[in-house]
Amino acid sequence: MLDLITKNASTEYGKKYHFDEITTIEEYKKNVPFSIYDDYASYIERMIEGEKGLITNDPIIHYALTSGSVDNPKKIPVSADTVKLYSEYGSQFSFAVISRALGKKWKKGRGLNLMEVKFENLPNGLFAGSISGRGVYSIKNLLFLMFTSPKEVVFPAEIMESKYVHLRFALMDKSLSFIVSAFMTGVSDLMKYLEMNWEMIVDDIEHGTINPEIKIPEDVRAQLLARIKPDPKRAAELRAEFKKGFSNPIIKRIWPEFAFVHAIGSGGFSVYTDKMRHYLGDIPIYFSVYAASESIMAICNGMESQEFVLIPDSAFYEFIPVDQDEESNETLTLDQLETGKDYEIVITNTSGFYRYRIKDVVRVVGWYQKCPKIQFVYRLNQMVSIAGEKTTEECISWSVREFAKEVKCELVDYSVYADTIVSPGRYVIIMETEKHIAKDKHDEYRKIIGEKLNIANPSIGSKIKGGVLSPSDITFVQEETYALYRDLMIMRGISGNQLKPVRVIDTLVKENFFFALVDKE
Amino acid sequence: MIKIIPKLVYSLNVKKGYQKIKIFDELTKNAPEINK
Amino acid sequence: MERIFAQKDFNILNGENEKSIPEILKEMPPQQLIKFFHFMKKNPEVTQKVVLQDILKHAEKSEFGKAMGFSEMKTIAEFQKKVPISQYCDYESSIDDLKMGASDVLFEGKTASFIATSGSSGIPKLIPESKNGELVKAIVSEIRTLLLLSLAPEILAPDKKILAITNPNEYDKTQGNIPIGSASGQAAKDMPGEMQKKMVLPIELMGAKNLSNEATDYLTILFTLKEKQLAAVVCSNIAHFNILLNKMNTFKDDLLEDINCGQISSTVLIPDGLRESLNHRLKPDPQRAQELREIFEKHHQLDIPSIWPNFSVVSCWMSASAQRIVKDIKMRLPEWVKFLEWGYGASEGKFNIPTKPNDPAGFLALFGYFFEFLPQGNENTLQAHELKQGEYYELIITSYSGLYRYNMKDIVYVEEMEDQSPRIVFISKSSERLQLDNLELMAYEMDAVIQKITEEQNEEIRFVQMLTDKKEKKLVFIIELLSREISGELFRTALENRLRSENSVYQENRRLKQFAPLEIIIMKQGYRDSLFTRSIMAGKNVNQTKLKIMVDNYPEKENIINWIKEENS
Repeated sequence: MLDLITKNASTEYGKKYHFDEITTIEEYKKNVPFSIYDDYASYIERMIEGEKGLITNDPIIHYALTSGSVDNPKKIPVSADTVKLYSEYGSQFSFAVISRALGKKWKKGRGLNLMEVKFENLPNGLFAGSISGRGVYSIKNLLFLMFTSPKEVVFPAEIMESKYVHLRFALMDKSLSFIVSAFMTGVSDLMKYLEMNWEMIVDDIEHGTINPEIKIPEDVRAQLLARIKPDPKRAAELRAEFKKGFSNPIIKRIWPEFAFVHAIGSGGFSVYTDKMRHYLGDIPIYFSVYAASESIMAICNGMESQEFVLIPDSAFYEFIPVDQDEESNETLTLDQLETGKDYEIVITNTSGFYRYRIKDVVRVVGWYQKCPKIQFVYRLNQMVSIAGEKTTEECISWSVREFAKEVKCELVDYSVYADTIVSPGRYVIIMETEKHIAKDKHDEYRKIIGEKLNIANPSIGSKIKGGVLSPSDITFVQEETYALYRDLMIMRGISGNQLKPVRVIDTLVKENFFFALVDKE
Repeated sequence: MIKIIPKLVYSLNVKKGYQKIKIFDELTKNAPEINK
Repeated sequence: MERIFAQKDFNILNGENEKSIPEILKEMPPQQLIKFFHFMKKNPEVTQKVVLQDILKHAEKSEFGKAMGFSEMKTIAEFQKKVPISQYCDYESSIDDLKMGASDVLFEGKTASFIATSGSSGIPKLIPESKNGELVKAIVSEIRTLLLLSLAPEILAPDKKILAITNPNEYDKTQGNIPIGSASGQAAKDMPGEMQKKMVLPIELMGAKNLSNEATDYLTILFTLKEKQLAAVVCSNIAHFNILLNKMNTFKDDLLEDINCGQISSTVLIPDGLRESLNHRLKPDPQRAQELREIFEKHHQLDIPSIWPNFSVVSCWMSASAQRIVKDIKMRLPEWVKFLEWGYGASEGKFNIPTKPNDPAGFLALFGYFFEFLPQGNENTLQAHELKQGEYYELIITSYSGLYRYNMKDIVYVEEMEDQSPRIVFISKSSERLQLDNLELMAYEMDAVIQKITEEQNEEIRFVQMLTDKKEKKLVFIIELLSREISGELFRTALENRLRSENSVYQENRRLKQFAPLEIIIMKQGYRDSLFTRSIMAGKNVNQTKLKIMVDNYPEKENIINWIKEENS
């Protein structure tokens, strides 16, 4: 880190905070304040126009778009160094871990890659787009060798029904070896689509056609058709398996050499991971990385592990204990952490962000040699607090799962809504279940979810007792609501690589959408 | 014969990955110092 | 023969097989072959032991084998004691017999083919090849190709094309009716079917005989220029490709016209049958012709990244004197073009297997030959696993094709040792040395000195030849520069001083005025290429031509720009 400071002393930011005078960590903490995106926004505007040396002297080769708000996504500068780390850990390291764990079980055939490349051109000549897209772009000459999906859907010029195309080409390759995606949601949506549409897809494979109902631009359709030949043999194989149903894990039956799934699937994505088990059986998952556009923070060094080892040289990390006083500016370095405790993570990276608070809270769950193993617990700005009771995502997640266990329903997805229209305000849990839930038991459900929430965050319970909050409620939305929301976002141009689950209903758009789809029966 | 090239490419990648794992293991031994 | 391994996959090294090692390897599927290659690298000593035993086993009933007592030899030491180090002349009479069709002379069975090599005197030598020897070459080619493709897999994309400049497989026969071919002509034969579809040049052209070099060159450029999707160029001597690029610009108008109309200019002399079948391949492509014209207008030359946007790989020789040629051609190619070593070999065999891009060094084909290494000035040979990084050795081979402890008279250098296996690179022939009275300097040592000076002086040399003037007792260096004018006297002085400081014999001779000061002759641009064209032997092309580094005669005056001698002389 101290090298980083010296290297960037000549930048505007460096001069502003006297980097040249900093020689110890204490001095760094004293001289340089915490920062958030807005502190860099104006520098970033200038960088996009072509200025250099404002916040970092490291070459910036990419801008990552975060799914901040739909209308004005934030552009996070990414240095060449960070891109290299992403590529080394994301592909070489992770595949080596997988290879070590699976040995001969992974036959190294082609895989299905769901990550797409959607870039915007910037005035300074660089691209803006997801980091995973950048990774795919950097090996674009080798994609045809390693993955099954045609370039038309990896580099989409227009919006189209990409799930169809991905599945179509993946199913044609019997020796498919794995699926890789940014998030588990992508994979589980794909499998759901397969479950609903297999007949149509298999027919197309048999005849070498593309069903006219599928929404693809005409020129893409023509290009794809030129490369497809009818394959009645494969179609017959597939049909035989699909006909047997999906209750037995389907993946191994249609792809006998399938060895693993590589995607982010822990924390907020665990509902989707659970769903995937149904299709995967005992085929393992590699949970990939804990990362943000600002830095790749930690990586799994084992198959099925959901404990991420902090990467010591990816950035300088500071940790703020969550139970620390708001006023205090104390931070800890990674050797000062304690197992089992939660910390807000603060990053100093090579892309120009110094003591940047990404508003994530992580928990230390163990140690790998001298390095902490962490798990993401919740986002600070996704906490709900109506009357000061501060409910984290973790609480909601736990409550919802306990509810599902007790009521014996299968959870598809969920969100929390801070209802302040009623007074006093109250928590409303939005939930989508696999099967339709009987409405006559609504009072019972309300009680159960209330109980669970109170256990998860006792502060809610006490505030309800004290009359500051109204009792919590639960609302069920129709089948496919969450999937529909994702499709809607994709139609609007957000890349599938960047879609994160909706955990908090915090915008009018989300409010209107979800409440319109309440299951009224 | 050409069919094995993808496997060779993956193997090459994995080989590089193993080296990266070695380096990573070394780094984690000295994590606090490296981070600073 | 002791049982060495229990590993199921590698029973071949257990030495208890009916088939020879090359026969077993040839039957292996590609993935297993590559695995074996990695295994062999990690176990060089044992692999070599077993290979020698196998070679001897398949020669013990031959005349030579019986005379030497191969069947009684149990150890490498015995072999080395009984069999002396040999050279070509020791085999001449046996080869004469083999030419007539005799069998079981140097190895069991008949000769499968002969390889014609030019030799230093210009009289072709014939090197015999047994069936096993041919298999070894094929296996080395296969492994080289697989590794090359995995280093540059992007060229496998369905629409990408490869320009392979091969040498015609000469069909001649000895009196005993045994075919004679060229070393690289065989490589084309071994190409897998899927690769043939990716060739830029039609098969009729690749196999055409009796075509003049001018015609072949023109046709090669024509088909290549037409092909926008050129991704890779495979050409053992990359100077040939350089010359083609020059011709491309010279004959631009004819070429563009031919591409436009789908024909071959009448000035090119081709037999009618061939012209017809080639014309068939050349569909009129006015779009491409227009595109090329526009590129020329924009850049004032046929700018390579524009005409071939996906051109990213070159495979050629990169070691010894080819190093400078590679450096030279790199200057006119886009910087992203990867250079992959084609592989060190000779008519006597294909010896190494390159594994890294931009690196001429490679692992030895330990499964195909028994290698020995002679440190300079030494009597005793070393085996592969005994070599040291950074050392130079003379290469000695024992092959399935009847060469026993044959001194290749090649100098190789060990770039590094990996897992006990050496990565070697060919440096020069051991005959390439400067000899003047008591001064003996290897050409590569002199070259290293020249290299240092050019770096210090920030010059770039395209080509250098060395001449020892025995009459006037001086060293003369004939140089073609890359572009800039040398500050001649500075360079000469720097070189002289450097040589004096690094070589005490030269220093002594210069001090005592036994030697005259060294001289530098600067040649015109294009000198090297003109030498190539002039040195081509009958029936051969630039690709098959190697230029001599050591010369005996001064160059013609018309080609000299500047002759730099010491100022006061």
